[in-house]
Amino acid sequence: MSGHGNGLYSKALLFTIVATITVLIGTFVTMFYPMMRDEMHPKLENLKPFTPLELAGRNIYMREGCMNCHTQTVRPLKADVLRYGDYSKAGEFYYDRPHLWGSKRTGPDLARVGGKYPDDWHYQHMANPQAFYEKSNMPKYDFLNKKKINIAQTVAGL
Amino acid sequence: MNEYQYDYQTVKGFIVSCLFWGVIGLVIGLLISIQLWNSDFNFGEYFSFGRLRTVHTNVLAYGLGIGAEFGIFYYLVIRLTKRPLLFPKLARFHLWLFNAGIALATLTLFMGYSQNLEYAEFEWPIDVAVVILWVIFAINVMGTIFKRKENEMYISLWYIIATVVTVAILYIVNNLSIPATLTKSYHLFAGVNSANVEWWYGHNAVGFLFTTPILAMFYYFLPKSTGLPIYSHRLSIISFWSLIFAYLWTGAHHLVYTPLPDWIQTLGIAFTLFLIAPSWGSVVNGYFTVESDWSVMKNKYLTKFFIVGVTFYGLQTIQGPSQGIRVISSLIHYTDWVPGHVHMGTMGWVTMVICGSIYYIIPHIYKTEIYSEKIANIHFWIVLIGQLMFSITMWITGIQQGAMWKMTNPDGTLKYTFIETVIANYPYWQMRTIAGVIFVVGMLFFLYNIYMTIQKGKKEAAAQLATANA
Repeated sequence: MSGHGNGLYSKALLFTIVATITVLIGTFVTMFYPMMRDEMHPKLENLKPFTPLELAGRNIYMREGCMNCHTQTVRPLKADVLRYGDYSKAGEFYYDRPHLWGSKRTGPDLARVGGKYPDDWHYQHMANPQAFYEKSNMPKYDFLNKKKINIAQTVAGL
Repeated sequence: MNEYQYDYQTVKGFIVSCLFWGVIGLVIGLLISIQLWNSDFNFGEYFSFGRLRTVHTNVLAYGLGIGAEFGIFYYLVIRLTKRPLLFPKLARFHLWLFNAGIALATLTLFMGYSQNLEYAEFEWPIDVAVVILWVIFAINVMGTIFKRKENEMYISLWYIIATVVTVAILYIVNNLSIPATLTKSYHLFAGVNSANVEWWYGHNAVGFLFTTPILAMFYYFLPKSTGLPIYSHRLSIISFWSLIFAYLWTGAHHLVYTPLPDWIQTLGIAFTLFLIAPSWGSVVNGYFTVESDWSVMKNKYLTKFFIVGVTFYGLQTIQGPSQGIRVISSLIHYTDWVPGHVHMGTMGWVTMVICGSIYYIIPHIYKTEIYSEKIANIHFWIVLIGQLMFSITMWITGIQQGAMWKMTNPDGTLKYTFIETVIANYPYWQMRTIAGVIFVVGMLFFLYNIYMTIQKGKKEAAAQLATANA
């Protein structure tokens, strides 16, 4: 197996090919194969594509790195559902390129935050979160007031 | 000894560059650690947490981590193939392109140009540059290995080959996107599928940027710095193949309890648990290597960098799979436990082994001894304390956070509001900042020691030249 001088370990090209095949097996089963299945592309019946304004907002969310502190997927766990609302369904994300599920909740999950508070609440909370929660660690996003929406990005995204 | 020409300049260049990017990444790390407990440390658009966290992870992963890997791989490859690099000038070009690329990439992240794919945030023009960079590196490294003078490939070369091939596959597939403008693109994959591709990439980026390359260094520099041969060649073979086989199946453990189909999650969790075996194969191999003469831990200052490093690799690869299990994931996922886990790996394993390797390489290149073993020992203990403090505080607050999120009153309502669970972290986040400062101070001792070693080597070379000319 560890043949000195003449085995796999003295044939670089063969070794590289075998190593490549080895890493491709798991890649195929867990990544490429699922991609070919319908269950990876589900769409809720009443799901609508993003409106231009929604997409522009989503792009701001991405530009500011909101995903570094907020998730957008509610787990089917009692406490998650109590805190954030109904758990997330695969078919809700059909138009998400990329997904913004996130990996860290320094702030709360935002999947169901839409409609939870009035627009004015968000407007003021974004500008100065500490006015609402004195000890909040969320950065102030007052500078967004002065920034224009990037129309080219949004149009191309539609 | 020097019958074949070594391209030391490129190796040196990468080492100095990676240390430069390391300092920037660490300083930003300190700043964002303060931002977490005091929002006044967010300074407008370019210095707010959302953008800086991305800068922190990318500068350290790509600037420090991969920069060090490029340099150390060039060193390892020429040593292990017993021939010069196939294209030394291409390697020099690679060095300049690397630095220009990291500088530009960092700038774009400050600007907010981000794909929002974790650890693959760079927008598409940078991705194109990264691929070119990797191809240049691959041609040189693989070409040199193919044209080697030494018949048998040593263990480190296996890990280098696996790294070169797999990173290329991972990076290209996950970054496939449809460009909208020069600074914005939309992922080729959508929704659940996008998440699956991203975490197949994300987890294996850890595997093939922070595990296999570091093992390549470990298997070379542990025997070199102790004078002891690797305990079992057969164990290295088994560990290598089972590691690179199993790694690619495990990405979905990042997506436990998400809408990703259950069977992919379960498969990911199962292979993650299996991964303990090959990981510990290398750990055990390292321990038994030193088992033949433990006095090297005391007598050779470098040994502890590798042995303590591989110990954290062992702990990391027990903790990681545990986190994948559904019931544990439900408690600690999305909490600060996870940064605690990540930093044990990056500070305790990756950085420890990279520092040990650089301590070995720099005196070797400059034909001198290390400036001060004492400072190296101080460096070792300080970064160890900083890292342990960092990880342990994050584990404690992570469990607290997870528990507070779950707790309910007798009437079934939630016990804590979200902001209460945030504020409960503050003392731990403050302690984490202190831990970070301690770690950075340790790294400054390292930088000073390396700088002085280089100066010492230059002086000695000049003195030698003077005597030769006299």
